[in-house]
Amino acid sequence: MVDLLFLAAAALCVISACAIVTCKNPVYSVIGMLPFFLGIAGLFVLLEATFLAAMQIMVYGGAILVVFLFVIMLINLRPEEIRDDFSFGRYLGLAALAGVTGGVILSFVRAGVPPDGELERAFAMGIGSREGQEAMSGGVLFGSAESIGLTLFRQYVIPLELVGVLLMVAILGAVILSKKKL
Amino acid sequence: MLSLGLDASAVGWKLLPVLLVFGAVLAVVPLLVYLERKVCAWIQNRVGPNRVGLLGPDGLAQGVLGFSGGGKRILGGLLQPLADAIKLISKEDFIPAQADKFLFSLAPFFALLPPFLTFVVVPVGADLTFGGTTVPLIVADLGVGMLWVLSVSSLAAYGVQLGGWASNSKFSLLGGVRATAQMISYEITMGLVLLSVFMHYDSLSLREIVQAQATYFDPLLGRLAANGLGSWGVWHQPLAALLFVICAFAENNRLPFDMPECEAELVGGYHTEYSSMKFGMFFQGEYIAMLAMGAVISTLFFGGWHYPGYASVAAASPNLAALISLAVLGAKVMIFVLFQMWVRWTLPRFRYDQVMELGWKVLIPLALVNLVVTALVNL
Repeated sequence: MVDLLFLAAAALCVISACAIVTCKNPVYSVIGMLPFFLGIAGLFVLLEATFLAAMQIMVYGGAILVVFLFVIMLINLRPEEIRDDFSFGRYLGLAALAGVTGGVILSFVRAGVPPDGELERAFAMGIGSREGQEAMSGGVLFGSAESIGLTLFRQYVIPLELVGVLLMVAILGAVILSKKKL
Repeated sequence: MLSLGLDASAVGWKLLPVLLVFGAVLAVVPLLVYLERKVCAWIQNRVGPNRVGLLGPDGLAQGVLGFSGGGKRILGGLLQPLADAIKLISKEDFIPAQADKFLFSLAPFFALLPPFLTFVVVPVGADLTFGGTTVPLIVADLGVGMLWVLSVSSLAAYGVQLGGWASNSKFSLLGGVRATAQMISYEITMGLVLLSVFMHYDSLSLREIVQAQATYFDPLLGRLAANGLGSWGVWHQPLAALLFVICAFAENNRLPFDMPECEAELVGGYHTEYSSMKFGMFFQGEYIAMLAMGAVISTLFFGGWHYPGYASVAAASPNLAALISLAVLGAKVMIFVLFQMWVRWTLPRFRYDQVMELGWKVLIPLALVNLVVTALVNL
């Protein structure tokens, strides 16, 4: 069952990723990113990382994509303005993609299939539920908001604060760049 | 193949809350359309829809069976939603020539789906027990709880945005752009408000938040008392409740925040070009969103399905207590839906720059202050 769900989510990701790069209309490409992000969120849920899944939908699916769509709609490219050239670079990219994908698959095949049991046990109690998460990691809510919060604020306080400063700088920069008069 | 590890009856019971919640929502939506028209009529001192009923001179019974029911209109207008639905379905499904056909047809689905998904994490009642099997009346008690509500409500912007763009009409585009800006702005306040609620309850799970509202500290008794209205979240987080209700109006694009479809300036905003059932889907989406927001507000701030005396009823019969709790949540949700209708037909519309100013210069600072105060209190 977990395998089936994984395949469904993975197929959703791959198909929509292909749609993103092949669509000629940029608005369609952006819309293609939505099922892609939802598929990624599904993969996170299968890994019991429910907090990451919620964040994936909220931040990428909700906020970032809406802004992408906003910008592309306002630019409003006409189809004839979109260049479509079959260049050598495209085939080079295809070859590189095939190489990397092959390498990843090969490395998994060599490493062997991870032992079953854990995920199935968690799934039996309901994916994303507290019981499932507890079963995954012996009482600690792995991948939940609680465990991520505790890790961030205990082990990684200083990097977290630094990221906060970085984001603040970025926000101030954006405000100064966009406002002519302050 | 891997075994599922679930027996069939357990799966069956898990389907019960799903069918219950989604069935109830679908059944109530047409009723809300009727209610909105009636409420509007009462406020404007009119009669409202009173013709299409079961009995009476123009009723269904007369039309089909030739039975007039004594010539009196009883519950006239109650079948108006049915007539509306037949009208919507049978109208021409028109797509403007210059519209983007695929996205034009896709947009209504985005308007309909996210409000439905909100109900997934809302506990609709106390646990039912059937022969030793406990059935929690919640579709999925996700560990992330409220974050799910934020996630799916952030997807709601797509319907309006895509509908506005794909119609290839200036009114629709302006409506879509306004809606996106408004929804993103008010989502920030909503997120900050929810943070202070999480901080107060120390939990993200709506189920636990409802449980936490079951007991409260009674200053008269000097001890924890059970199941009082005094335990409602609104007494602990009054500012958060107020801000959340305001944001709920803005998220649902209801008056006084109905900038995206403001008739006076934008004809119909993002759904100007929509007709037939595609318009019907936008329309339904709005009512489901009203229900969803009502459910979230009552769960976070007004005790959810809890009611005074729950503990004593549950001691006598847990299933009866659970059924009453369902009705209690339903009543609370309806109160908030009626409140949204009342506001819609009472208040005038904001100007667009006023909406943005209210959002960024008033609500966000207030939400931040509320967050800091909550953090200090909970230190």
